Amino acid sequence: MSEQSLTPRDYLSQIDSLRQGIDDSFRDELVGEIYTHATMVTDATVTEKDNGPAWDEKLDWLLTHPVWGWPLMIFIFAGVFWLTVAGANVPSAFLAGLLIEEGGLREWMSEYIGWAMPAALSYSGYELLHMLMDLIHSPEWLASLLVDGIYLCVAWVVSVMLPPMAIFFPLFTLLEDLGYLPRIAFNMDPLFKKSGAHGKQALTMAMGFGCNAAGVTACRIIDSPREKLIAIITNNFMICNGRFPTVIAIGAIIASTQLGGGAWAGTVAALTVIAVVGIGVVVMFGVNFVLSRSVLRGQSSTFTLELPPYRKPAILRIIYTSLIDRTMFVLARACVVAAPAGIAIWAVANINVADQPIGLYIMQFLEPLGWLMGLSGVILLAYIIAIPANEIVVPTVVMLILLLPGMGETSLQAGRMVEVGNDQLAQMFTAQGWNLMTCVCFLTFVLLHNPCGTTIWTIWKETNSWKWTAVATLMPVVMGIAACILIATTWRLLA
Amino acid sequence: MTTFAICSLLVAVWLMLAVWAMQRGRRRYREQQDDALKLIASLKLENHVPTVSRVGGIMGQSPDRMMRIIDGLLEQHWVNLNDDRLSFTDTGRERALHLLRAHRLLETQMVYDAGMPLDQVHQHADRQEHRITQEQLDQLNEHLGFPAYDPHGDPIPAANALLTSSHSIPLSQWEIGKPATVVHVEDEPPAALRKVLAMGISPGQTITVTDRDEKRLTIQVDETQHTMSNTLALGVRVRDMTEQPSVVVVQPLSTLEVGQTGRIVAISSTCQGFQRRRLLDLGLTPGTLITAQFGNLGRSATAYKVRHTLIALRQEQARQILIQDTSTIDTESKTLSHVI
Repeated sequence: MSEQSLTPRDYLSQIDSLRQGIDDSFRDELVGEIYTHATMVTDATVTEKDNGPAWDEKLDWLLTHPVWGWPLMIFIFAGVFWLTVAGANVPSAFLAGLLIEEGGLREWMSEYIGWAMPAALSYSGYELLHMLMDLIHSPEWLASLLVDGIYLCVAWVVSVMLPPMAIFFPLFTLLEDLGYLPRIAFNMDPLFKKSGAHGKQALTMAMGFGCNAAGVTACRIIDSPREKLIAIITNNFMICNGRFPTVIAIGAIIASTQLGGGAWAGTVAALTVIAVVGIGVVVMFGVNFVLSRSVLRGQSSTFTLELPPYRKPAILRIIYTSLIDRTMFVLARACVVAAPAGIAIWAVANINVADQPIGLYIMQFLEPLGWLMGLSGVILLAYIIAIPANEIVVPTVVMLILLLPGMGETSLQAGRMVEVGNDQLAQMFTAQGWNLMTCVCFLTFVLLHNPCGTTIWTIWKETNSWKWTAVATLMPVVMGIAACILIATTWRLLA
Repeated sequence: MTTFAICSLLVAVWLMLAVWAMQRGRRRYREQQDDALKLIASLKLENHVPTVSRVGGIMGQSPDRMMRIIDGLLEQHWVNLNDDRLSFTDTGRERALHLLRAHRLLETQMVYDAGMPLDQVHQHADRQEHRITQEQLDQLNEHLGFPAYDPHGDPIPAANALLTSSHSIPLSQWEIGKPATVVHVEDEPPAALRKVLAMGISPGQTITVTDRDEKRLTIQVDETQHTMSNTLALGVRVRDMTEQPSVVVVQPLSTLEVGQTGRIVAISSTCQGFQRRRLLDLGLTPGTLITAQFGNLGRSATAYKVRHTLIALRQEQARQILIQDTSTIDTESKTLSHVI
């Protein structure tokens, strides 16, 4: 009878009072019992062959060896980068032809396939859209805004971003699936421990080489909120795929201006990338160290890491998860932020005040700071409008140079993003009076500046805090400005 | 026209500042009421009579201010005033309990979940406890896995529990030579807490008093000797050891050489909360065999084979797991221990 009069609330309060009587060891015993039971089940049902392969232990010995585990790790990652950069060239050119370049795919076809495309087919998406706008008699400014602004920016981001990501992420997932990634975290843990961070940050950092936004999302694997924040804030110091083209372009410029180009260009570009990536890793550890001893002070949390057995990778699943969950996810987000950037780029180049595009005024305004940093107003403005997507920095710089007075004689069309060859780029740079110091400062700023729009958005989603998003956004840019000023001033004093 | 606009702007700013200052003052006032409630509760727990002058003295408030705070408490029917003596009403006791619970749960979260150092959490919890609601507290409690004690070793009351004091005595009164388990470390003043923590004393730790005179006592924590003043020892509360360690000789897992095997005896009681659960969930339960497989550079972490799985643990974690060396145990008992 009395049982019927008990309400759920009564049960809850009864549970609460019973819980008070439970002592500390209850949970331990409970888990112990579960495991004992599970062991009994497996002992009764699973038979083990004792001639099991010892090869995985040998592999572990090799890959996690305190001495040569490290060079192996660097070698494997260098291989992944090389495959990404080298393999992305051809598909990037294809996408650029399909979406952007004049004459569509004709050049790509003749270069890689050896097929002279008929002129009737040789139109890129950009040209077709312009024709379409003409066809429907849209006002010129609207066509220019939609096609030269928004479409071009999104198309650029897609053609530069998609191929490397579509190569890097499957390779990364392959390493993950093979069981190698947790071993990297294990190898690198001493450094992360010394810098007050979590060993699993190694994984999120490796992911950040592909894309910082994906790296920030990956920080979910770190349980401790403090160490997760450190990992999120410092992920930006990993040079992502989107910044690779800029580094490579400047590397090539250094090669062609300082060494006269030629056979050295490729090597110098590769060395530049390695140097910048290496400095980025060092900076990341330094910032880890400072953060974990100042604003994010605390004890390091549990580091428990499962090292799964080596497995045969499931290729199809790898391709699916890396392409759909990572590549497409990041690309979609990048396109969403690239569209407004397209408008901004179009606006600074095409809206005139007193016969001058407004971009020119902004560049003049930024010039003093740019000079102090060893850069110029052009580069700073390019960085500001390339916040949504770092891929477009170099084409935007080129576009902005063309806006400057006295540059009108080139065959290139002003007012939209343009791609030029490395030698032409070097010429334009030298014509601006830019030298080796500019290149070094440019590289420094590539490494140390605010995360791109997609990453900022992701940081906000992951931390749910305006404060930490602001810290993660502003800290690197302040560091970058300070570092550039320091380098430029020292350089000028010594020269 | 412009003058008028500027004037109205100034007035608006002034109004906003005034409202802000008022709200701030009101919040401060409410927080002081809360603090008074907590103080009355803790005085009652220690069997002292809470009087207005005593509460005011400890809080360091002027008599005028203290009277305003007590008036506020009376207005909300949280306390009754008899001459100088204060006593709780039912709602007042509920509020005090809520605050106590909030403070201890917040500290638990900060230490076990966020990994903040123990000597920093007190002030943060003092600030946050006034704002948290009952529902948020229940959620937090569930998230933390219904902890029974906070990191200082104070019991965390259930939502509807009565206040009870724990049966422990200060270390200063503990007899010489008898091992004791630390149950509570006083968090105020912070400097004292830091000193105590620096000696390696935290709740769950076993310590022995080896010598004492009028002013100070000598204690042994693990292998090292420390001296502490009697006043400092007042803030450390101890009780009989819950479990006498058996005759088995135990050693921390971190001392296991690569290639050696041991059997887990226990996870140290200094490892609590999320970290303890994590280790247990990975299958590091007492009775399990564990083999050190390989270490990394400088052996900051070691990979251990447990239940056919490789698990890497940092030195700090391995130090909290107590094992028994099985090099002396023959193979037959090894297979047996699989079932234990």
